[in-house]
Amino acid sequence: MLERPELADQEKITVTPTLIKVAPLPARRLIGDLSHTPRVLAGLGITPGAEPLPRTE
Amino acid sequence: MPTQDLEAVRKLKSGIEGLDHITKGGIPIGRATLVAGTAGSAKTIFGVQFLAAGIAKFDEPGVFVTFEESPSDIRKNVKSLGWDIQAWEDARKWKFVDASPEPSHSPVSTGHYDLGALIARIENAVREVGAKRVVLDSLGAIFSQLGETAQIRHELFRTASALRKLDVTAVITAERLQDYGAIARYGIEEFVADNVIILRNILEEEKRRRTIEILKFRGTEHSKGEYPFTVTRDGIVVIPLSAIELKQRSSNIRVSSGNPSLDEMCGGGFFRDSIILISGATGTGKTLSVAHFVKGAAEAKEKCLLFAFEESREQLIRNATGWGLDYESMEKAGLLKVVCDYPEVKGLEDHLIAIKQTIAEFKPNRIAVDSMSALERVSSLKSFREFVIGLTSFIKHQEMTGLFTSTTPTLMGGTSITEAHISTITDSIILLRYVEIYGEMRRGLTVLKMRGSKHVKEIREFNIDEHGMHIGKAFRNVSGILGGVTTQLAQNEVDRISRLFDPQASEPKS
Repeated sequence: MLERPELADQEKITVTPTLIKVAPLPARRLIGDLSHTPRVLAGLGITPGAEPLPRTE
Repeated sequence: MPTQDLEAVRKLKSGIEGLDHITKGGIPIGRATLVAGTAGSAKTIFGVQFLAAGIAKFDEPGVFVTFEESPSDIRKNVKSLGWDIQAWEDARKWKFVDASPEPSHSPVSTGHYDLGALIARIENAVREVGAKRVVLDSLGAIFSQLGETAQIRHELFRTASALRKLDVTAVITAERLQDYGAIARYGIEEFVADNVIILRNILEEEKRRRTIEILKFRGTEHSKGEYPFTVTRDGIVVIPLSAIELKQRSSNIRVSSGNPSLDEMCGGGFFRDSIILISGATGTGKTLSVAHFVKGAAEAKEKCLLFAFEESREQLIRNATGWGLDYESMEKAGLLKVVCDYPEVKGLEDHLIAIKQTIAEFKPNRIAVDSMSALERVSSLKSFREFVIGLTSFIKHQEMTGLFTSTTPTLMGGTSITEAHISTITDSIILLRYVEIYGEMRRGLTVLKMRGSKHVKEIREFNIDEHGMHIGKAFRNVSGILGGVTTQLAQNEVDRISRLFDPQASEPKS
């Protein structure tokens, strides 16, 4: 961030640390040091213990 | 504290018209100034203009940090004010730091965080363009993005101290919920700044009135109280009323009123840089006096600017023709400019700006306003007073002769609000009055006041015909004209009173 602030400009990042989930969609933005695990998982769209959804072809 | 420290607060010329006057030199340099206002109080325009004026007038580059509107919205919105931000960005004079919210989603908070990224971006932008000025618009918006937490509060203080280290002059805008109430919405904004300016947009007697107030300038002086401002096609213009110094030069040069008898009554004409008020009831000949004034200017090859707020252009020209004056050919000769406007079309602040702009363009020697009291009805008393003071002091600074007319509310005598407000500012006052004598309406004129000169104190009768106004003899056997209650005195009584004061006067004068 300090070395290449233009990248922060590109991504419009104001808060450190920020984690951006680009794929799979929907894109999500997580801020903070990821210490609150349930929120991290929820933010990433992961439900603990659940089977991955069957793919529909 | 040593005096050196007291003098250490230097100021940066904002470049916003009028603001540098009421701030007594500008915004404190190297510090953060909070500009707080309700929605629609022109905060963003203030911020943009602060940077725009810096670039255009002083070649000082700037950084604009936006928390609310996107840069493309801002570029678009201020284009009409003549600011081409894109061109400045291309010339590396202006840089946006875009911290506006992503419309698609709000971030998920997963633990401790800080605004380090934002601070790094601001620092980087300042270095990149060599910025002297930074605007943060608007600070409180960060709360609506990230929530109002102690963490964010702490981070805002860090941002402010980072700005201080950068050696830039910052303007931070903040939203208020009420025009009179807490300084800013979150109660924290004022603590990150050394100085506070408040913009108000008040609804007063069905009219919007914008004012600006400098609430606090730490360690340096400024004018106090609210000053009106308006947003014109050039941006914000502050009208510094009481800050106007009374240092107008005065001259002994006389100009003609266009009526030889009136010149004689005034002791040889009006002074060149004076303000004359003509007061009278409807139909007493105020517009005619203005026409004489215009004629006097034209005969002396002087330019006259006429603002008419009561009649249309056609009406005015037709009336002038009736008195043997050709306004149209005077306009063609460049000696006259007639501006007709309905008072209701805009607020008084905008009228004032428009009048000033016309004066700056036409550069007249004389200006007439017919009538001043027509403007009374479009505003509150306070704005009217401010308008009158603003206009008269401007005219005096330009060394022009100003003629204002004022309509009295009653037919016989009496004064209007206009007179109450401007009689002390005007140098001369001429009263036109109806005089009722034995069931007949006649007209009388008197020079009530003529600052710095002798003048005739009689009330003289005048007639109006197709050549204009003709001033005749004084009313000798009538009293109570100014009060509106006339009493006729018998001729021998008049003679007796005359003799009381002047034993030589054995013959009655009239």
